[in-house]
Amino acid sequence: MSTELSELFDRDPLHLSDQDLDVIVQYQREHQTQHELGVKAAPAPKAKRPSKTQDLLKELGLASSGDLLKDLGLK
Amino acid sequence: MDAHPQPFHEGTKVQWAWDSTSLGWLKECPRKYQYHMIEQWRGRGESIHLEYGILYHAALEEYDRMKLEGGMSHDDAVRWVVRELLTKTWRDGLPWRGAKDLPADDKASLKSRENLVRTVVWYLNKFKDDPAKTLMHPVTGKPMVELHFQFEIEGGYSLCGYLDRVVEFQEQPFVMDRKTTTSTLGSYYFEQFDPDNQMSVYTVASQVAFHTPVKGVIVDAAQIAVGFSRFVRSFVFKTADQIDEWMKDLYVYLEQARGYAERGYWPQNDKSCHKYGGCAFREICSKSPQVREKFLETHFQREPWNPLVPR
Repeated sequence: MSTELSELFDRDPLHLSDQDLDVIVQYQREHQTQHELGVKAAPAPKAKRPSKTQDLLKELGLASSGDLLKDLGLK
Repeated sequence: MDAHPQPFHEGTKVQWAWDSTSLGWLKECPRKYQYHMIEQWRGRGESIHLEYGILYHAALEEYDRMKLEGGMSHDDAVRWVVRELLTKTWRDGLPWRGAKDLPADDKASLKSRENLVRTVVWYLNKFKDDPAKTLMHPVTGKPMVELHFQFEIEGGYSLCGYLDRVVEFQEQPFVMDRKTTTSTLGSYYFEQFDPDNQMSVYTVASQVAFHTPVKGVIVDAAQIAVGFSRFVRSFVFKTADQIDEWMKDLYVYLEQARGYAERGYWPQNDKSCHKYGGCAFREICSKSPQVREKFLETHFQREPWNPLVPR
């Protein structure tokens, strides 16, 4: 939901003008059209989940498996 | 003191006024009926489902009235309905929280204020030129929406409730029943309504109370999902013989309910606990009888259900 729309939803409805309500209705109609056309909002980039090995290495005070390999002279 | 008429015979737990909801509880499990109807326990998620449903129904009813009675244009009626929705969901100077405080894995968690407005606007946009036309009441001349009914049947009982809408579709009259759900609207969802207690009550009611011999019920379902709402309609047809059979069964159930009330004991139907998405009282019934009351008080709140009170 856009910031403008959130702001309208958070406002006392008694203070909403007809134009404000039209903004809400129009937004929903456009959202519906986009949905029916199969347009989806771009997903937020996912944070890379560290692997279990990386978690273990971190607990052992080693930054990453790359560091470990380096330390072992294998990289 | 509650000024409304009570659905029980005075000084007893024998229910005389029945709606499809209380009858449904009884049929599922007498203990569920006891907790809901006799003791008035309601889970938090259930309350949100109920309130969300009432707001959704009221919005669509208001739209019909504004258009058919008030002569408003589609756009004006939509604006009116959105304002009404926002006002009704403005509580003590703050937006209604709806399901925001529920855990994300609770089925009711999608039922928020924003999703309610979205669902109503999307519905009205999709059915702007609805092929199902609301019928006008033959006596009052008003649109047949949110129709309360109450009529006597044998044995001193009454059937009561509401019809969301009576429509004409392809020149045939039908009751239209609106539903909101977070389930996917596939055949699995619609199969639960045929046969179904509620569909039978509505078919009988339209024939007895409104003298409208409908062919059955159109289930008008709205799916509330993450980021979208979706609408699918499905038909449940009822023949006169099916209705006769349902009425015959009804009297058996009502006499059973009388028996439970007279004994003051409503047994568990432990084959129902995991059906219908899992009974709200499943965890209560899994506890030892001595501690159930404590658990009920902690996890549930008391909200009376009275079929005789207008919603």
